[in-house]
Amino acid sequence: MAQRFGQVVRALTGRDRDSEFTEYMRARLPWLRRLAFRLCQDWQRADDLVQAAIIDLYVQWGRAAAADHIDSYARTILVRKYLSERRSRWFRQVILPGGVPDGSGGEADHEMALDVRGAVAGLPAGQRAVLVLRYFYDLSVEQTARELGCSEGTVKSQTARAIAALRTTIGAGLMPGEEWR
Amino acid sequence: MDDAQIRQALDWPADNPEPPSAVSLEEARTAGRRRIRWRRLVAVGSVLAVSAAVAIAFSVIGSLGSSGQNGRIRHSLPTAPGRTPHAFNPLVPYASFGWLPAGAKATTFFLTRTLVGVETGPGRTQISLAVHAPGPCHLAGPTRYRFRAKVLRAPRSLACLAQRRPRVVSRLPLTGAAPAVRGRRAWWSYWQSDPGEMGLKPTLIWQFTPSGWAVVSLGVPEGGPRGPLSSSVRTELHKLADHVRFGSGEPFRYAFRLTHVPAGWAVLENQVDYLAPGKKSLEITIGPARLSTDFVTQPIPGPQVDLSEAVPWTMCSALSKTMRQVKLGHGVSGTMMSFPGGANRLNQSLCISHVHGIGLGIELSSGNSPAAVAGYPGVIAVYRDLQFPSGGTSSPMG
Repeated sequence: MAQRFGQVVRALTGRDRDSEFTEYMRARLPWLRRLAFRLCQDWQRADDLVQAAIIDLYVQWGRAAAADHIDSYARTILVRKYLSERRSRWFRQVILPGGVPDGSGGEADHEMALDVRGAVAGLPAGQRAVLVLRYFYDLSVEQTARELGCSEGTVKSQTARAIAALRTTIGAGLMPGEEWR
Repeated sequence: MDDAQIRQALDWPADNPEPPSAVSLEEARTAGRRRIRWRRLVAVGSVLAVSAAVAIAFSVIGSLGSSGQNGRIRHSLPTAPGRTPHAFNPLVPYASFGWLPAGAKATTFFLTRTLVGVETGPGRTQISLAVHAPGPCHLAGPTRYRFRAKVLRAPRSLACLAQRRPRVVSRLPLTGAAPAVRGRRAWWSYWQSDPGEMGLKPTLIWQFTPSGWAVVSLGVPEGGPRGPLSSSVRTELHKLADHVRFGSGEPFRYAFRLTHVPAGWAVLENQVDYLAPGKKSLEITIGPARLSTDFVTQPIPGPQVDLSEAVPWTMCSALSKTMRQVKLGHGVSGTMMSFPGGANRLNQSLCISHVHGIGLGIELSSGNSPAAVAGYPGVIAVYRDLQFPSGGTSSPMG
């Protein structure tokens, strides 16, 4: 009954979209920014990406709010927006930072990590997105394919290529017994 | 190299200082609302893409129709009192609300060559008016059509073709005859503003001229999706329809005038949003305009120029800050993006945060035509052709 009432209120007023959206964004904006940063590796571009993605999220709020996991819905919008912008006309004029972004690495940084980061920065957008979703967010092949809107085979091949590229770049192989996920 | 190293490499935010966010929730809400309104008014989207397929099916197997009317009904009509133009002037609203409930105010105007859309502020009391020029809309009878190997039934409806390609069709089902509006025949209907049954809005359709149609909707779903409308809703819809004013209204005021418009070009679309008292944003799209027999003003993608005017804080921030900065003289600078597009094609955007008290956006797309055909060598040339009359102007072109 309460759920039905919620739907009615949403449909009647449209005002609920604003309040729900605002409440959600206040809580999850930092998370979305960090996800965007992991994808594009530039805070200004990350903010632009988040700004564009949350407009889509607002428009699709009815579906997002009804989804099992709003975070997953928002992440899908953001990642797809990132990939589509990489393919879109405007991206071609953007001069990307050539290597690892500036800024203090902190004590946790070490030479190997910097090597890997530099290699990740050089990956194509699709491969970087696959790595972020699979290795950072621990999504399965199936979940990653669903978020990216591609086949599981594509996810596997993109993962394999990304890892191969990283390995080539930093000159290190997998440990014995290690497998591509 | 192991999973942990990859994970650490992807976790730059964890060990890099996070700068303050430049993301604006208010801007996202405003842009989102505007997009929702556009979608409703222009009638594009996935749902209507299906309608497009349906429309094709109609033309192919229209003979399946139960009444053999082939999707079109003809009746004798009372003579229209005034002469309705075949195409509207998108710079001047051809129709407007003559009466609105207390507190309601028209805040959005979306004008094309064949459509005038007016909406009040969003929310429970949102009221929408759409007036279609003679031509794109017709009554479609109840019929059957084949879609994906199935024969489906379509109710009697008002079917309207989109102005531009893709040629999608929006349909408003007719749920029953309504009392005439100023002597013109009318029907009750509903249209779906959001997915879900409760997004269905009570609607009144009337034929304000022999081949021109007007549609007014209330923001309050009433009596369930297809249930009978209450007498108060019917009364309010009729009062709104009775008071709609047709004919060229008061033109908008624009902060700029484009002094050079290529021959054969005209305004294709114009959207005006009143954001707050004294603050409005508008976006004018110009391009080659030739209203063809099937009511398409131009092939897609064709050359066009978008001119956007807004209060400074709503402009430019959505553009990436990594684009090229250009100095335009007189202390004005802008952010420019461009790429050649191949074969002399051109796509450029210029955003100026502050010029003569407004934010200004100029976007030029030559579509499939070479830039020379588009009539402009670039967005800076468009900017050079702009004047900013003190006090604004009601004639922003030529």
